[in-house]
Amino acid sequence: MDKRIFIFSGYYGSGKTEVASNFALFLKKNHEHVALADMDVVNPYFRSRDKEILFRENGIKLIAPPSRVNSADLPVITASIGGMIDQDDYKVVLDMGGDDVGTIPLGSLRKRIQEKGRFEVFIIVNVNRPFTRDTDGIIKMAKLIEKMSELHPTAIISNTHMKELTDREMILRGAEYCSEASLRLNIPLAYITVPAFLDEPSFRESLESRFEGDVFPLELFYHTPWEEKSTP
Amino acid sequence: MGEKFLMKGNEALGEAAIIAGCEAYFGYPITPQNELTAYMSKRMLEEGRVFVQSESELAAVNMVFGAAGAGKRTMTSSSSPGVSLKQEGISYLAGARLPAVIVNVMRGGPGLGNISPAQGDYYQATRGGGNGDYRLIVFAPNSVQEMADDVIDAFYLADKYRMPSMVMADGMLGQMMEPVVFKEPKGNKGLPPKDWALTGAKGRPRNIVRSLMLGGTGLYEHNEVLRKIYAEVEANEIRYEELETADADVTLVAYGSASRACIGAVRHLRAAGKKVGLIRPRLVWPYPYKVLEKQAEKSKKFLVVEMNLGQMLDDVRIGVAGKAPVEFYGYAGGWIPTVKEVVDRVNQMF
Repeated sequence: MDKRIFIFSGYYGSGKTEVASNFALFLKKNHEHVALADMDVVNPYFRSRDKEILFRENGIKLIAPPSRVNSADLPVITASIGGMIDQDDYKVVLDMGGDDVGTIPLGSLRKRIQEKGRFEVFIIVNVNRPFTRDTDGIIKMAKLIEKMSELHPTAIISNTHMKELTDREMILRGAEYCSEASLRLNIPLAYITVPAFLDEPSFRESLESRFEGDVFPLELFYHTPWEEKSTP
Repeated sequence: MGEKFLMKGNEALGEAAIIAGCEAYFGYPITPQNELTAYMSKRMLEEGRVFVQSESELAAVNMVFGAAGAGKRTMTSSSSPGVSLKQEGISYLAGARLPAVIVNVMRGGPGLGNISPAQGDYYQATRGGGNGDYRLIVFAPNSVQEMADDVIDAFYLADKYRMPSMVMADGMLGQMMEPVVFKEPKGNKGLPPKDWALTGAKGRPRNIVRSLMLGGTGLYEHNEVLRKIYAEVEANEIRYEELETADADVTLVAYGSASRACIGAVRHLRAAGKKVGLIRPRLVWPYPYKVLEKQAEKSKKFLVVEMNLGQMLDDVRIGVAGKAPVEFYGYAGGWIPTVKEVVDRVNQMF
């Protein structure tokens, strides 16, 4: 993987933060310097900045607004992200906010990212979400994001799930829509996410034989307080 | 219908309103309910209905007054400080006997507070944040599914009793995602005709929608009508859920996000052989006082869990009426209880 900058965009609630967090951990396995930037100016909760400890323990540099503004209604983008993009020894994951609006902060970074090259713009798709139920919806959303960010999407990540009710049939259905959208958009289907509780060799094989993308196993980090593992 | 979506609570509120036949939505953005306004800005236009992002919260609620006065199903939404700004209009809606739905996705207060989830507006919702003797039918959902169901019912009950109703959620419920299936609305079955609405007076005596009643005994009589309606609501619309209450030594009482941790705590404590149950009011007005009174005959202790400094606590005390001690566990300012915290607190009571 020679790419350096990985942009995670998509319809809000598609799972960008969960996938981006997993992706940063995945990159860390083979690279010394990995940074994840919380660029979410849309969501007030379930943001990567809330998982500071997870990233610190795994040696991933988290670039996020100072915690004192976490519960303020301010769309803060940290200035140091620009410098990080210039650091060639760093793999940088940009966790964007949802929708076309969420990609607005890319505007100020776009030139720098393009000059540096070697970047991916992932479109994350969950076909259980209301506005990306089918191929047309996915394409419409990808075009909106492209228009707002002025960056052409480079790959799709199929992240279809229904939280704990996710099943294999659902993942297949999502991958099918994403595969069709990838053909029509002429970009690859890079990954199909599978939550840990459904990940097994035979299912992996059947997905990878049917679709172009690789299976990307997901560990789920973002929970409501009552779902947290801190059970007594 | 019947199809399962993965939705944020805020989006589910919006889609449910559309399914319920909401013809006009008026709102002003505020976190953590923005997805609702954003969703309506997309979907209401797709449906050919009315969406207005008003210049203020007060303007939005007064637009609701106008749409409701014209006999249309209408809704506004906000989060705590914004709902405070709407109180004048809500009192006027109640005074003019206009059906409408108000959504409050609560955040931390008082004042501008913060954007974290909270339940600090319980008093405001159930005691009347505006002036005068009035009530709101107040739903307290604890899941994305219930948020959708409650909006549909809120429209129905508002029309049934000709009064405003409220869906009171919190920021966590608004922001989190869960599966949801939208139910069929009841339609207009059993609802009185809106013969009071301002639909053009050609060929009939004119209707007047107002809350100003000067002179004579008009206002007294009007308040007597309201008294009668509120008594009917209290007689007919009590809704609550019970979990493991039959033999509970300790009964938890909670609503909304706080009740999610309590459900987990009851399961955990039952597995450990402790007799713990939960009463969860589904509406917080009218309130299930009698259910608590009955429970107080068998339960040794009560624990109220809220994301505030103790507001529903008053209602539990009214219901329990001194028959058992009522304890409280809660904080304000962006705190959501975990299962472990509730379990630890309950264990102190044995």
